[in-house]
Amino acid sequence: MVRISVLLDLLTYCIALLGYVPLAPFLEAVPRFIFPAAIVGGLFADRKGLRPRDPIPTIVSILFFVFYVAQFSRENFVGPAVNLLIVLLAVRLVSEKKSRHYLQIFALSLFSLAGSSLFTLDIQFLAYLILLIVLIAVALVILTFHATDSKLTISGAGMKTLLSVAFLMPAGALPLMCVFFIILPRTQYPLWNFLNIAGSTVAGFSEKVQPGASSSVDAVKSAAFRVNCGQLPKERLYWRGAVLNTLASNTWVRGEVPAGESGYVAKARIVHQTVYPEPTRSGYLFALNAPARISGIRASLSGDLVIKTATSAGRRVKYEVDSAIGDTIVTRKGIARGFYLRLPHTFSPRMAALAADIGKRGKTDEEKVELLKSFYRTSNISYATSDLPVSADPLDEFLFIKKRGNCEFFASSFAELLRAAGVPARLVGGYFGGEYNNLGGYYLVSEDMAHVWVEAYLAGKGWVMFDPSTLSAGFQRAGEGREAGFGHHLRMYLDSCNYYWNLAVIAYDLEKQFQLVNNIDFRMKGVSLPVHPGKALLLTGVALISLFLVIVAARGRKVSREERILRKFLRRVERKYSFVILPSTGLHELASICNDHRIDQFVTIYGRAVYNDRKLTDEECRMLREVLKSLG
Amino acid sequence: MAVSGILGWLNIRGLKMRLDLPDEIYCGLATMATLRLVNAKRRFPSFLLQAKVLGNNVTSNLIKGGDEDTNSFVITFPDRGEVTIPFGEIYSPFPINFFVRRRRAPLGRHITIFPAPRPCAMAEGFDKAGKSGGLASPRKGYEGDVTRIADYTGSEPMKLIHWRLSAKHEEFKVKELSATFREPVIIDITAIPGRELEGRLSCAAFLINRLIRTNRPVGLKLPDKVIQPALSREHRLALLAELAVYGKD
Repeated sequence: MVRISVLLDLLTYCIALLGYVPLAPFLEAVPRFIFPAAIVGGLFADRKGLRPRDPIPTIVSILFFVFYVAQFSRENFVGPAVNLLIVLLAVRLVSEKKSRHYLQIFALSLFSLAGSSLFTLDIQFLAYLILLIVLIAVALVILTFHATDSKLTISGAGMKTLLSVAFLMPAGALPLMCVFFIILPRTQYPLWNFLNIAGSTVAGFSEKVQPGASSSVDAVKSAAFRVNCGQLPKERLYWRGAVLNTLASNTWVRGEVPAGESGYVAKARIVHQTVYPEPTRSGYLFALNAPARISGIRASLSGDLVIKTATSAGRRVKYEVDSAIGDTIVTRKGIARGFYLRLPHTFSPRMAALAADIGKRGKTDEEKVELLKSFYRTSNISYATSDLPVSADPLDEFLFIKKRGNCEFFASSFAELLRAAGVPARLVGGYFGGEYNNLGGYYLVSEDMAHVWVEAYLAGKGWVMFDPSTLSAGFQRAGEGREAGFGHHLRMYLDSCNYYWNLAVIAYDLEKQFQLVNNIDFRMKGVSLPVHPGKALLLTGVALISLFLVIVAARGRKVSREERILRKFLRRVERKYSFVILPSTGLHELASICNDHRIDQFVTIYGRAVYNDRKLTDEECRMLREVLKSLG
Repeated sequence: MAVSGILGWLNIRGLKMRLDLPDEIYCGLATMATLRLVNAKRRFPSFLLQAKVLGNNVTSNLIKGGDEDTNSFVITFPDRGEVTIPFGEIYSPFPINFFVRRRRAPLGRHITIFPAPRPCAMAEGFDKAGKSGGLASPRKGYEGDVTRIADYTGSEPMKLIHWRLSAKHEEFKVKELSATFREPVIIDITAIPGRELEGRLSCAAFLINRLIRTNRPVGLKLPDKVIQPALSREHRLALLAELAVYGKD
């Protein structure tokens, strides 16, 4: 025998865990600790039958509520809310449980899982959601039994029957949910978006470059964006983001683009990309260097070929870009040289001397660039992300003392030296590299691939791209040297799941619904009979075989003539005598109960055939039908 | 909600109800009723059913497809006469306790409630007369020695139920007593002393039962007909049925 309450408690703890686990990484220490303690405490209380009764749990819940509500603000709404949810869940787990308390636990768990979607909305969320729906549906059925009698016990076989029927609930509900997801109208704007922005962080790509701000850079492996396009040579995988054109006290930022500047890449191969960025606050959209046209989103393409949108903050979006793959951006009307030659007042004497030397020796812009490149090559500067220069003049320390740094040091120093040598220069922030996922046919670009390079304006050519990091010893191009074994394939497989999840679920919108309807309509219109006689024959054959299979299946389930007549007879007797014939009632017993000569007659004819293990003859059937008719 | 609605509908459909009552029911006296819930569905089980008949509730937590569940309860009818029970009601909160589904199940029971048998002065006279010349009879009676233990058929008075033996078996067991043979009697309702009709009918019912149990054939004189004395159980029930509807037209 199985006690309903034990099964219900077990399901309840599982449901609460499914609400807690996805949120755990985002919780404060106290709720993160309280919840597991509540699970252990709840199990102990179940065994001992010692549960705090109201009003103690209510008072504790109110105190926590007041504590977390006091922390609410527009900027910090999600954090206190999810912490409060978990604490309320924990309090409910250790306290007395009546039917309404179980419902509260189910609701709190569901809200907690929904709360986790404000931090991350990976495909794991779908797994948690399905599992939670299945368990809650089953638990609701068990709870109905519990509400009827909390001490109810059910036999093992009965429980098996009950659970098999209870599982029909989620089994029926999940396909319906999928259908409703497709057909129900939805808003174009995520309602909870305002909550989500505060929770998101920008890691990797930054809108400013400040070498020397920290002694090490931690690589963040999380996805930055995915780009659906054909595979390209690795050296072409420069994803252009922001152009940082202004140097203000050792920090490169993006200033207003000088009026009239307008660039393009001439005579280059055009690559079409569909980009699915992860939600960020920056508003910069990325594309292969250099973007020429953008569609699918309200965005502007500036004169220095930077795409920026105001609508993507915190939202999952998708856009299409055509990029002209090339290293040189031609400007239509020249550039504001003075703007791109500005330098900070504090400039290292050693760097100033180096720039002066290059400026003196180089006759043209190209020569100056080549001289500077040879300086980097011969200086034996190594590429590193730890033990970075953090002194008052980090670039001087980088070039002449430590001789180690990351792309920010290389690009900043290179651009500053170019400017000091009289060559207009600017930084370009974006990403370099990408892992091509053959399953999904897209590039996965992660935050650890964030990169900065330089564009120098060479007279007669335009803005030419240089990546000073490649001049270092030990600069490993992104994507190279990554593992190519089972782990890599598994990671790519999981990422393609995420990709399709984003594609089909997260970025699903009203437009797609209309597309779907149009496609169905189109396909329906496209159906036509085959004109080729061979095809027609094949189609007819398939149709005939299908028909034959259907008939065979129907015959397999066909009820015999004897059974049909008997069913009709029993129905009529039940109706005439207004009583229920039990399955155990024999026909002769029935005849003796009813004391009706017509029933006697039926039973005699029917029994003569069936009880002698033979089928009814046509004559017997006719007689039985007459009896049935007389019974009315 | 849609799926739970369908499951709730499937749960409560295909249920049949049968009410088994003894053919000897007296008004004001408790009698045992048995309610059978039959799940006529082939495979789909039914859960958490509550059946309600004449204000009495019985519950069944699980009836598998094609199976039945039986519940007994004690019921008392306050008035004599013919009673029709057209249907019973079945309730279920399954699958989730948000809504309770209800369904009527036809019963179509017609029962006759006899007047409650009450001892009266007239009965004492018969008792005294009967004490002399009584003969032992092999027939089943209600006042002799225990002759054997039999299954409860629903017609025996509850005092004959052998509770200790019944507790050991799944069915009720009753004590069968021996009887004696005596002279026939015709009871005239109008001749029974007493002002109120119900009191006289109760006395007549008591007399009919008492006399037939003591093996004395009993008849009944009614305003429009006379039923000749006889001893059978069917005859006794027929007399009681006449008393049940007496004056009800």
